[in-house]
Amino acid sequence: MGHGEKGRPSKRHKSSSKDEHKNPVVEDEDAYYGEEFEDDYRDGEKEGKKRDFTKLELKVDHSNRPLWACADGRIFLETFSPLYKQAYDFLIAIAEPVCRPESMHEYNLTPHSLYAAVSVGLETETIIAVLSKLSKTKLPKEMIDFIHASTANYGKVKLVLKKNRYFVESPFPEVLKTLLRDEVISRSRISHEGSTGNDGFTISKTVGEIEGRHDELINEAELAAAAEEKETHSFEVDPAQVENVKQRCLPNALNYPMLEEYDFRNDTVNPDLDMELKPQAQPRPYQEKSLSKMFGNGRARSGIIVLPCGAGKSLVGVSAACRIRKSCLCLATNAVSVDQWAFQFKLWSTIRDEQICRFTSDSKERFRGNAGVVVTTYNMVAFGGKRSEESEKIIEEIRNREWGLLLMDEVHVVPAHMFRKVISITKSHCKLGLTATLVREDERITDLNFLIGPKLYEANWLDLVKGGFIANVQCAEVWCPMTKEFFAEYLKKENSKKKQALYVMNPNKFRACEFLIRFHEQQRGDKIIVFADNLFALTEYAMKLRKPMIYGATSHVERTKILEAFKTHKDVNTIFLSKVGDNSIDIPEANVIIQISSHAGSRRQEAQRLGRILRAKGRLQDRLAGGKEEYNAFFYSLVSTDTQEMYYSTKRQQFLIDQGYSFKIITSLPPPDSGADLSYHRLDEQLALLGKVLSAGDDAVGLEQLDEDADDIALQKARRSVGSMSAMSGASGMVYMEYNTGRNKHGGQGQIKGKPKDPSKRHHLFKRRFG
Amino acid sequence: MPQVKIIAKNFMDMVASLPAMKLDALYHNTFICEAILRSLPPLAKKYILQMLYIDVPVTAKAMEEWVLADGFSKHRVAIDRLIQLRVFTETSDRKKETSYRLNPTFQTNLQKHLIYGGVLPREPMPSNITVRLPSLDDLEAYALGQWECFLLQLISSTQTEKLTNFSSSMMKVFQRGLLTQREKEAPRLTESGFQFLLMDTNAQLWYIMREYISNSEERGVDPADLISFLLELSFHVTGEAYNINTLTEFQRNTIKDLVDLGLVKLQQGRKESWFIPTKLATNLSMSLSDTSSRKQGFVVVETNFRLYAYSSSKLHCEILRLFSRVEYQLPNLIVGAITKESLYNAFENGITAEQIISFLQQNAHPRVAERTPAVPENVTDQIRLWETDLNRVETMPSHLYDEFPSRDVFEAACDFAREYGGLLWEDSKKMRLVVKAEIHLHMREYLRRPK
Amino acid sequence: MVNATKGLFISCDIPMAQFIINMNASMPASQKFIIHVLDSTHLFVQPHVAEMIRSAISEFREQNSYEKPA
Repeated sequence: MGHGEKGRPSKRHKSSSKDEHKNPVVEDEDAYYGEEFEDDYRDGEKEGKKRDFTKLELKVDHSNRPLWACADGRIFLETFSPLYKQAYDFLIAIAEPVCRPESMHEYNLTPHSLYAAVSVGLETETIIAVLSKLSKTKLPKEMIDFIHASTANYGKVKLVLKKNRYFVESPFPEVLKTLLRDEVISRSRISHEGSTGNDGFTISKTVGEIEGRHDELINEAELAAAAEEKETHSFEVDPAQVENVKQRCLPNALNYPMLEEYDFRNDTVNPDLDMELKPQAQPRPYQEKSLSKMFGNGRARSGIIVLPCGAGKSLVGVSAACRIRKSCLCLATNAVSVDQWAFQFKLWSTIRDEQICRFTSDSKERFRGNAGVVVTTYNMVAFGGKRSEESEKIIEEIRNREWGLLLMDEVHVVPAHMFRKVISITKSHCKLGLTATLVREDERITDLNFLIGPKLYEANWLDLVKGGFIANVQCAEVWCPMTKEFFAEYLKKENSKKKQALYVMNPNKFRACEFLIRFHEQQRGDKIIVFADNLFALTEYAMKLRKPMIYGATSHVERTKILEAFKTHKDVNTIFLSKVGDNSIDIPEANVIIQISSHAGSRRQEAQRLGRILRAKGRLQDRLAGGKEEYNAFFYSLVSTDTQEMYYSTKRQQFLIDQGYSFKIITSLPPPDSGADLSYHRLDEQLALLGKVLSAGDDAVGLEQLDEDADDIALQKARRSVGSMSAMSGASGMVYMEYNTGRNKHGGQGQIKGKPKDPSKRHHLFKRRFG
Repeated sequence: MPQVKIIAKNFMDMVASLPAMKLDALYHNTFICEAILRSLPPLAKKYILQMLYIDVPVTAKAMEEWVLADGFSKHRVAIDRLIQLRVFTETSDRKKETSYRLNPTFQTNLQKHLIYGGVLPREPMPSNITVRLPSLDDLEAYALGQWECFLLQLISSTQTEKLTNFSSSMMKVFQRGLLTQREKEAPRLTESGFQFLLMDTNAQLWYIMREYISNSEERGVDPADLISFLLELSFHVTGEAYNINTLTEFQRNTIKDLVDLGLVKLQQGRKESWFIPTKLATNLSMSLSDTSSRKQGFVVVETNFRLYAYSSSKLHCEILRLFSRVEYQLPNLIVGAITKESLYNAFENGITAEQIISFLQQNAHPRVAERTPAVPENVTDQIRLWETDLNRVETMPSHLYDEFPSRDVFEAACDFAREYGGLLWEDSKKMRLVVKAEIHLHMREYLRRPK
Repeated sequence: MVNATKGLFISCDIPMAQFIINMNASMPASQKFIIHVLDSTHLFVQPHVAEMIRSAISEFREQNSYEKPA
């Protein structure tokens, strides 16, 4: 930034490492959620590639079939096809969604997605047969080859914990033989005299997949085959050696990554937890579907379920715990969220108060009896420093217990190293990760795949909106022109570090915000959340408009008080939140979001914020198309035109746009006739504000700098940052710092995805891109 | 916003623009008389029928009395049109009173037509001859295929597989105005060329036919002959086969060109050759507004700016490329994205946001055509905003005048500039004004003039 | 006597005028091109700078807009 280099977004981040040094501010901002590789990657890879597949042979009855499949893995699905529902369920199991708007979906077949497909019990030939059945054209040979190549080894071997003995299981004895040729594995084997089978493997039957929806599409003979019971071969391994065996099976070694399944029904060692779903807890169809993917063969699979915010992730989590009926460790990102999870458990299940406990820095409860649920935060478990005596005791109990289910919330925000730590500390039979926003192809998806498991299910946002399960949100981007004086300062080189403050504090934006708050409070009686990442702006706005605010430094007690007032008090209808409100704080009353500043180009943050108002309110029939409350939730993003904010704003919307949301552009807010009754109407007021922004030293324009805290991931102590305004972009806690380092490490490698942190954890297919 | 330079006039506009002599000569053909009659606005039709058996001029005043007060503008349009086509001739007597009478040739022929009816100079193929005729659907597909192939060659696309028989000089004539034709430079679509491609088939056909007719003299063909043959052709029945032997030599030559354009299909029988008029030919005499033969839409635009065109047409693909980034081509689907970059390219080439939007709306796939709007609002808004964004700064060569000796002089100068329509800006406090460069000389002269 | 200056009349919105003014300010004295700032949306500049302004604006616009890669 030496010579006043503008901290502007470079159009495409194809930057060499040299550029990156020149432009550290922007790079830091973008690294927040570490999403940037994805774009560059796609960009470089596909440029100039010829994608002319006109030579594919069209089937005679193509109009009755719902999809096209291309040799490079792209799949197009017509949503108006009568076969849409079946096709969707199938595609979401085998492919990654690229975009899912109204009429046409696009998917990519990737090694990850096929790994997930195999994990939920789909077999190579079934995948090819069904895909071929649904396709309007003959399947490209390249795609068939790719499916074969990607699925050859996946899903062939399972690690099953039965009656506290570990078994390596496979329907293919020759695969087991291959594994046993490995020295480590063969040494770990526990042989039993008199075992059956020529190879000394135990032979047993497992039940075929219960769920047979895809099979409707394939012919009867195939159907019969799929339903048939499978013979499995297995050998037992020494529990002490399990980690080593798993290690040897990873892609960089023998390349038979093991699926982990928990045969909880036959687990007689761990005590049962007496808990079931209450009768009124009726999982919705998509919740049922995600559970059926998890429990498809009568055992519990580890993996990730992706549902939009507000779609009822917690019911899925609680239901899973109720099916397994063993002790459950539930990890959340912060203390507020811990309270909410504990509440959800009590709401949906018959668990008794003494069976569930919270473990946070404020609340150190312990459950009674030999089985129970513990709700805590990732940080409480992973904390490396010195703990209080009491905490140490509890953590010791967590360490020593064999958990039936490790339930992990918001897995997209938790860095890999923390996962590793948590997973190494806690012993669990089954891991279920929950998230709303799985941004694809970034680094984390690979980590999540191997640390937790594959994606088990992902719902389509628009379908849930249409079904009335989540709110139908009107999204708008409000264009606020910069005032003359603010823009003049914005353009000056010497103010390059104050750009963000200038575009956030743009009086036209303030007025638009004030107008919207009044409109929604007074005309519609709505409940409004205003988001500002920039602390300076947050305080200025909140003070001027006399509204309560919550940011990093707000104490837990204070937060609870404000949220409670917002929920219950008819005069508290607007609250200002810093990015601490992005995740996990549940504010079901809110139905309007106004975003005045945000973190650079983070698509995930945008989606998370939208998620705050996705919970459907009101009566179902009112919310459906044509109902009187068809749109009763509003998401406004206020953007100062002609500034960097425009770049970020478009970029931030991409994830939501891919889910079928559209942003209406509003160019005249506040309306011209609303003059003096809004703030900063007079030039002298505007100039005073400008003076305040400009004279505020970098230390005064405090940025929310979230630090690591023993308790929470996101709820952390705010610190005034001394230094550059660059941090004003809402630089983040250590959670995000993780990605900073990750990014810097890989910086400048252009199209290459960068070296994985732990090369042993990565399969060659995940490094190489398809095609 | 650039002006739309190509106005796809209909056939009759073209007829009307012929010189008087040619026009009079045309009316010897009964079919032309009928075609003209058909093409006219209802009131004009009525006037012709009313005057069909009147052999003396009728005064304009007398005619005006036929009209109710609120129908006067329609009356004016009708009269203007009739005069333009020389169906009415206008005469003024010594008292400067205007009268109209019907063009005598037109009158006689139309009278004859009323009595004997229109008889084509040829009969369709009798049913006892067994030549396999294409179905109407096949014929339409054939016509559109030929037309598309012609268009692809026209825009010099490398995509053409089959070339037409048009001479390169004829092709050049068609390309005139649509493509740049600079030496040592690959031809590029001009602004008009882009607009041409976005027009619907009928409108494009008019344009090409107009060029074809206006160039006819250079090919040694009388434009009146050509027009009358084309009109005659439009009275044939779509899908019926007619014997080639019934055509004159000039007509036989012309028919070959019409095959290339998809207006007729040739069919070789055992002994004789036949030509089959397609819809394109029989629609020729219909007026432009009459677009009953609307093609089915094929484009789906999504809220994420992605575009899916149900088409296997290379021409469609080329058209979409004009303003979008084509990403995938499948046997019956073209996948693209409308991006800022692709639109800026289009804008630079003179194509407007409105043209793109109306193309997308008019060609909306039936799946989305029924929803309103057929093209998502956020997409159309954004396309327009991007266009506006390009025009935020306007520059104009001009002169600034200051140091006026007195307010009177200043104000007079402002008035003078305003009268010339050249006042761009004024500041009466500081007594400064800016005027367009074009009127600087007048301005200077005016200011030097002694007061 | 009345004085006439040949130049380019620019009509635009407030931010664009500020952009051009800032552009002018950042240039060395010899290259300054604004003759008069007429008001907040009108400028009078040297006749030859139209293209330069156009390209500067288009570059600025590029910087502020995100294009999703293919």
